[in-house]
Amino acid sequence: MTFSVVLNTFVQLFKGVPVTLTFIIFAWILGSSLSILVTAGRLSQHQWLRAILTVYVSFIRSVPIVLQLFLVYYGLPLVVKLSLGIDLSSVSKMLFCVITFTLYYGAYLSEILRPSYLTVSAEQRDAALSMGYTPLQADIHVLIPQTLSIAIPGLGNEIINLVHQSSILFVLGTVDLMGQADTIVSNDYTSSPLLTYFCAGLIYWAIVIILNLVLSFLEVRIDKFRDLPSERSLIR
Amino acid sequence: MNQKIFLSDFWNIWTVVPQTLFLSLLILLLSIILGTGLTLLRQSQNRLTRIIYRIYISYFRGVPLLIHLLVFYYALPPIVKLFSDHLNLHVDTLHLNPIYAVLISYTLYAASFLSEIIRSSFKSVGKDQLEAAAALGYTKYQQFFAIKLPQALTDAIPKILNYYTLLIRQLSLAFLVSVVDIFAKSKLESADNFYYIESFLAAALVYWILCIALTLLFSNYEKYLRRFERSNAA
Repeated sequence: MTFSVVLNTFVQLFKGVPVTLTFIIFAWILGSSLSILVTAGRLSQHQWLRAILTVYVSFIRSVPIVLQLFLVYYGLPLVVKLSLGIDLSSVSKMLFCVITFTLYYGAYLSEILRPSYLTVSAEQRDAALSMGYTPLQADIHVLIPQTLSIAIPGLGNEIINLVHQSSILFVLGTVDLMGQADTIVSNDYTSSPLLTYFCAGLIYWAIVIILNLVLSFLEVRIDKFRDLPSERSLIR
Repeated sequence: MNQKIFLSDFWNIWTVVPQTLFLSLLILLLSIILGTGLTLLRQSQNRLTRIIYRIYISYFRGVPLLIHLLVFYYALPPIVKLFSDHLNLHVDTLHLNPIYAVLISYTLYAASFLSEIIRSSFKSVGKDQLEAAAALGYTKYQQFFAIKLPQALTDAIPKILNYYTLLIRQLSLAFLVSVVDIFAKSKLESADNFYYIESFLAAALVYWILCIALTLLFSNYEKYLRRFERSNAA
C-alpha cells in the first residue's frame, strides 16, 4: 500500500463527488418543497387530507430508505406502464433515486416543520390577528419566520442525514461517490476494499464537517435575535 | 401483482422478525454500555481523553453507517487473524461470521448517538433536585441512586426506545454483508422467483406493522414512566 495507490483511489473517488453533491442539492430542494406542501396539508382543515398525509408520513417513517428505493425502482415503471402506457426502462436511475428521496424527505422534514410551526402558532397568531393582520399575512410575516428559526437545527441535521443516506444509492449502480468506491472494488481486484471504502468514508467525513461549519454559521446568523441556546444533535 | 406470492412472502418474512429484533436489541444494549463510557470520557478532567471523545464522535457521526459496516466487514478478518496467530487461538478467519462486523460497526455507530442521549438526560435533572436531597440528609451515593438516576432514566428510556426502532430500520443495510434481516429476507424471497414488487411490498408492510406496534407500545410505556411527573399528575 503505497502513497500513489492511495492518491489514485482518491482521484477516482473524487469523480463521484460532483454526482453526490448534485444529487443532494436536487433531493434537498425537491424534498423541502414537498415537505412544505405536506406540512400545509397536515395543518389544513380538511380531515381527509390530514388522514391521507398521516398515513403517508407513517409509512415513510416506518420503512427503511433502501427498501423504499427498491420499491420505487421496481414499482414505479410497472405502475406507469399499466396506467399511462409509458415505458420507463430507459430512464436514468438517478430519476428514481431523486423521486425516492423527495418522497422520503417530504415526510421527514414535515415532521420537523409541523411541530416547529405548532410551537410558535397559538399566541403569536392571536396577537397578529388582533393587530389586524389577515391570516395569510400573519403566516408570512409572523409565524413562518419564527418557525424557520426553530426548525433550522433540525433541518441542518436532516441535510447531514441526507448526505449519509445518499451513500445507499450505489445499490442501484449509480456513479456517485459510493458508486465509484463500489466500481473500484468490483473492477480492480488488486485494490483493497478496506482502503477504498475507508477513503470514501474520509470524503464523506470532510463533506459533513464542512456542512456542519456552514450550518453552525447559519444558525448563529438566523438565531441572533433569540437568546435560547439551540442544541444540535443528530438524533431523529 | 401476484397475491398468492405476496402472501407467502409476507408470512415467510415474519420468520426473520424475531432475529432482527434480537440483533437490534443486542446492538442497543452494547451501545448503551459504550455510550455511557463515552459520556464519562467527555466529562473527564484529562484534556487528551476529551479530544479522543471528540474525534470519535466526529468520525462515527460524520461517516455513513454503510461505510462503517463495509470497513469493519473487510477489516475484521485481518484483525482477528492477527490476534489468533499471536495467541494461537486457531480462529477460522476465512469463514468469519459477518454478523460480528454488523455487531461491532453498529454498536460503535449507535454509541456515538446514545452517548448524547445519555448525557442530555443526566443534564436534564436539575441541580435543585440534588440540593433538596442534600438538604434532606441524603448522602452523595443516595443522591445519585435515589434521585438523579431514576429521573435521568425516565428521560432517557423513551429516547433510547425510539432509537431502537431506528436501529431496526438501519439494520436493513446488513444485506450488503449477507446478514439476514427483514429486508434481506425479502431480497432472498424474490431472488428465487423474480417477483420483486410482491416481496418488497410484503417487507414494507412488515416494517410498517412492526414500527406502529412498537411505537404504540413504547409511548404507553413512556406514559407509565412519566406518571410521577407533575404535569401528568392531575
